Amino acid sequence: MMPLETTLTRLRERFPNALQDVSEFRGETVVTIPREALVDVVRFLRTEPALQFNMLLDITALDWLPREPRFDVLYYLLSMPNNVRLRLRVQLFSHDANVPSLTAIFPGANFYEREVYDLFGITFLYHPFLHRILLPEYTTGHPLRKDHPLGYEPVEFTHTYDEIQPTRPNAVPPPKPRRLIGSVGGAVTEIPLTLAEPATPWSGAQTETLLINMGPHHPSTHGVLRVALEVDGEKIVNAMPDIGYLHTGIEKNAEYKTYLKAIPLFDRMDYFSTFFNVLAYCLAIEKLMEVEVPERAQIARVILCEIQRIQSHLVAVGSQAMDIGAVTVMTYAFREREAALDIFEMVSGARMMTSYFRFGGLAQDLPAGFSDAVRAFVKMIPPRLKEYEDLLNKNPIWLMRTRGIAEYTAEQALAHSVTGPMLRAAGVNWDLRKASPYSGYEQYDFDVPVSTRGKADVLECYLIRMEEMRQSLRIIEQALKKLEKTKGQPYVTNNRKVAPPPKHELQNSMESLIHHFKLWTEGITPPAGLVYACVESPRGELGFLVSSNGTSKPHRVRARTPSFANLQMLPLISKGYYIADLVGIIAMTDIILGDVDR
Amino acid sequence: MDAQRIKSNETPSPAPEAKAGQPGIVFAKLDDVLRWARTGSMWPLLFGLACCAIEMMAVYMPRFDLARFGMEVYRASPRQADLMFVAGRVSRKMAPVVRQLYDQMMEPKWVIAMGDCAACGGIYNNYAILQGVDEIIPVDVYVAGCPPRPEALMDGILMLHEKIKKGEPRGQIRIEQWGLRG
Repeated sequence: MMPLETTLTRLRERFPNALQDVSEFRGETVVTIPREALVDVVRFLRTEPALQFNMLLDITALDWLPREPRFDVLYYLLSMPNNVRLRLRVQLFSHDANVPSLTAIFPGANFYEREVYDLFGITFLYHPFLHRILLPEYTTGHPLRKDHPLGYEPVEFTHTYDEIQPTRPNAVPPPKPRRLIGSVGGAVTEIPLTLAEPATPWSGAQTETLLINMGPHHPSTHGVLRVALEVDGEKIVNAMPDIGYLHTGIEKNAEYKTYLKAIPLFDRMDYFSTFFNVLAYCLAIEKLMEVEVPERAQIARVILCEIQRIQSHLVAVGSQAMDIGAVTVMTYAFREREAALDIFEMVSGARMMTSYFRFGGLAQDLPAGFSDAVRAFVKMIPPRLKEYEDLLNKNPIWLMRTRGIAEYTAEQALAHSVTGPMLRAAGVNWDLRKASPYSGYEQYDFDVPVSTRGKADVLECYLIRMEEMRQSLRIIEQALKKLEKTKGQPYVTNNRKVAPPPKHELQNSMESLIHHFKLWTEGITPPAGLVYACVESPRGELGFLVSSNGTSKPHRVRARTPSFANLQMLPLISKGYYIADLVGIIAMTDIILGDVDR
Repeated sequence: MDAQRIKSNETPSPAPEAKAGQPGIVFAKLDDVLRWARTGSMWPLLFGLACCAIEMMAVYMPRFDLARFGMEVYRASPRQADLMFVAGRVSRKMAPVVRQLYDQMMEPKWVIAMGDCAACGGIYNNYAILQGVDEIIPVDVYVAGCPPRPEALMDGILMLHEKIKKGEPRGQIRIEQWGLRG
């Protein structure tokens, strides 16, 4: 029996009346359950030894205005031992949009529920601190609701001024009273100091702790992260991240664009792994439209993604070393990064924002000389990695400031929905390239570096990243050999509903002309449905949930980004260490704020 | 001493071999000297927002080497900086912070809006993003690109240097935009 069927059978046995609907689309199962049963079902799924859904990957919502029940709240659970994914759906009426919180079962639900509250206005009952997370507190309305306008500003040549006047829905009820932390840039923002007990009064009088504001302008926060620190002398008592300073509204903007035109938006999400963003999105659309990707395109995708993984890890390691004081490594890492960017520029014309992948393949064929450039890159990197290791691995300052700092266990990481190198550093062997291979990763021979130390720390994460770069090189070498054999083969699918026909066909085929016209005026029109596709980005599981309503614009595009979840660990792992260690800890999580805030 | 020599009407020796310890005299307007000096040691604020910040970092890394223009000293404190790169998209939550950083910088100060997002909002015309940082702070040079190549940023910097040397007026806030805001 398939593990998924086992899960459904067990659920039916245990909750005979709870499963309202079980639907399958493109190999993904969505189970609809009533709101009342949610907590029990999730607790059962997590604790049942045969099922072991040990990670809550995502919580998001869909707004189906004017349908009632209006909202779908979607919970995405993953069972790592069985490699099963299950999506739970809870439907809510607009007059009663609330649902019990899952923070008691999965601490990682905290940020996700706050995000849904912020962007959809759905209330999570018994949530420890239900306040806006991405938008400033003074915002009115919830932007991802369908009746909320895009809120764009007039451009000079607009002729639809009435349309762009934002019609504000009724203001949300005033937030609950909470403690004042301080003001940033004149705007007073208030954030809790603990995840679990936000109501606990500040312990200042007894232990003489001090509140310090770190960021959003701080050189070591890797962007515009703000951390509210409560410190006792130099030691951190609490560190609460405050995010949203780079909230870009990418998910809302994507609803106003055709599927193809949304690609550049996602490029700029996680700006160190642009190929991964676009790949995950393309995989989702390809799944939705059931498109086969030609082999040459798949190999090219693998090569470019792995080069980008090296590039991203180089900067992660370099900036981590710089934060701790070894600036040399940073300058070296950027030197190697330029070599990777040269390859990206070669294929796409842009150094960073490549937008090179298309649905069903690539935008254009790989240029002449690509293989040679990649081969030179693969040859160049190993001695350079050795150089970094010579600088760092036996450096006593580096070791003292990384070994044993920010220790956490695998259970903690799983409970906080952490994925990627941070999870593997805690000893969990989980890599999507092995667990659920995409783009032909099953054909490559490579190892997944996993820590055997038992507990993760800053040094362990660094070691995992260094080893991952070596494994990426192995993959690239194998892929290059395969690429040679596919010379002259198509680089994009010949499905004319997805990819435009080649130019020469337009001269003599009426049908091609029609396809071309339809694609460039209307865009692709996938069937209605809900699909999710994920890739192993340098930071963890990066997934795209695409909800289509059968038109040429997506109903909703949701990006499940790894940094957002990984950042939740910060309060837990930084407790008890020095402020000076915090910069190393933030560097260890390797967050990209564009990935966190979207 | 040179000053004494001038007083006593003694002509300085023009012999080239005396150059090492005996610098000559150049007469110039104090304003010009100041402007020239300012362009030679401009300290940018270490401050990045989004994707463009990575290219900004690349500019002072070995390949592009901003040190050639006396600008490799990025200052983390706005009080020691005199040039701000707005490198990336400015969200509504971040806007007051950017303004405060600008206010904390000492005069004279300049701003380069790096990238399309900082210049006009770029591809993100929505509820979250400011449509150009010049709505809140005056901008002297706009650098186009998404993100601009490091060479483009350097060109913008040199353009700013030229502007300062010529004594051109500083950038201004786009006040007319404020009336249109909903």
